[in-house]
Amino acid sequence: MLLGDALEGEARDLGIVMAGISKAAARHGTPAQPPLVLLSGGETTVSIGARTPGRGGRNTEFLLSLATALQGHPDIFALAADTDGIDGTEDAAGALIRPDTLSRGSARGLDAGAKLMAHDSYSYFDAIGELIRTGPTLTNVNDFRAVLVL
Amino acid sequence: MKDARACALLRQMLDAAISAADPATVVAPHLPEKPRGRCIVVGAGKSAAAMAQAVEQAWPDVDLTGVVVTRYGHAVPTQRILVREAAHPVPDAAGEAAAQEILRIVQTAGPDDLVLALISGGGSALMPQPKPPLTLAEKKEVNRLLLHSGLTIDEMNRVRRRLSQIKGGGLARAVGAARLVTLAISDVPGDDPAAIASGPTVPDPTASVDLSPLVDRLGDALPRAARALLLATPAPAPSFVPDYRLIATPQL
Repeated sequence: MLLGDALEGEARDLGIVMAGISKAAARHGTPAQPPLVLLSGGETTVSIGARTPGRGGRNTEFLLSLATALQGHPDIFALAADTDGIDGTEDAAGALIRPDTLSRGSARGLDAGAKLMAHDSYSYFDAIGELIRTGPTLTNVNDFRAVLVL
Repeated sequence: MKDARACALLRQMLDAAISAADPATVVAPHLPEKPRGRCIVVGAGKSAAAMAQAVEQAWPDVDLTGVVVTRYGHAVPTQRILVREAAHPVPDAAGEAAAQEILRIVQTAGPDDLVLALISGGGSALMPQPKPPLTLAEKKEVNRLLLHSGLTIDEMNRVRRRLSQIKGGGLARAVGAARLVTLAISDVPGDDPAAIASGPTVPDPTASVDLSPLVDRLGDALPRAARALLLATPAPAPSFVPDYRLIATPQL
């Protein structure tokens, strides 16, 4: 299911919205029956505020918010990455989440909510080994987000 | 097992999206007719070097010259078109030097020459040419403010175009009467040519818009020279019809 290339707004807000849509698909079969991939593009924003931020980009922040909202849902996976290979200013294109993402973070003493508040999503995914590193792709068609509902 | 397959599927989809926009395949089909004279290739963006390489491979028999600027680490080998590297997202002196080279070389275009502009995301920061009296150091401060402001990309680009000699159609003005064709890889929802790399080859659609609300939101840290340029009475928007070809876009 294509959601288009114009999804903007705060990355963490989009994470909560996409969690809602994918959980509805898993539970009620709306807007479509699983298995289902929700594809979207476009460029979200991350507002930092006054505190010194941690490390992360739009895509890892989106994913950490999504993972937090999904609370380990057993049938939902997601990938988000910048197609140029650089999420924000980091050396990763993005990351991947799966049902055990939060529990693996907890096992390492990482609090996903706190990492999200600190805009430190890169560090979170780095610690659990879920960053995606493509290197420079030499192209750039903005962000790629795919949420898979089985 | 289920997890591994799900993750592999997602990764394959990302790889497919990236390869669908690979300059090596998307540039050649969109090239215009070969010029009688030289083809002056300029460009800026994360794909600039890869696009320049694709032009060289597609046009071995054309008199190619020119210079493109890409991000550090994004250069690829070329034979005839010079590749410069510069900083992104915060611009540096290397980018400013490349911008000057680009402006100089397009001004040499004669009536039989073709200027080919290769534009992709990141071109805005990679090709800085602040309007005097704004300095590059002040422009960097503005850029830093923009990246932390929470302004939308569209709002940031309004500001960037107004502060630059090369954005918002500035490169097209430097080309003058020679033929100019732009090949662009869009990183912008809606693919607005004025937004991709801040539109160096197309008229600035917001050239006459009052930017004082944005100036207010950027606050007191905004350098004085930038504030003055943004609040100055806007020049009448130049009108010309660009030959602008989108060769890859985010629409999946």
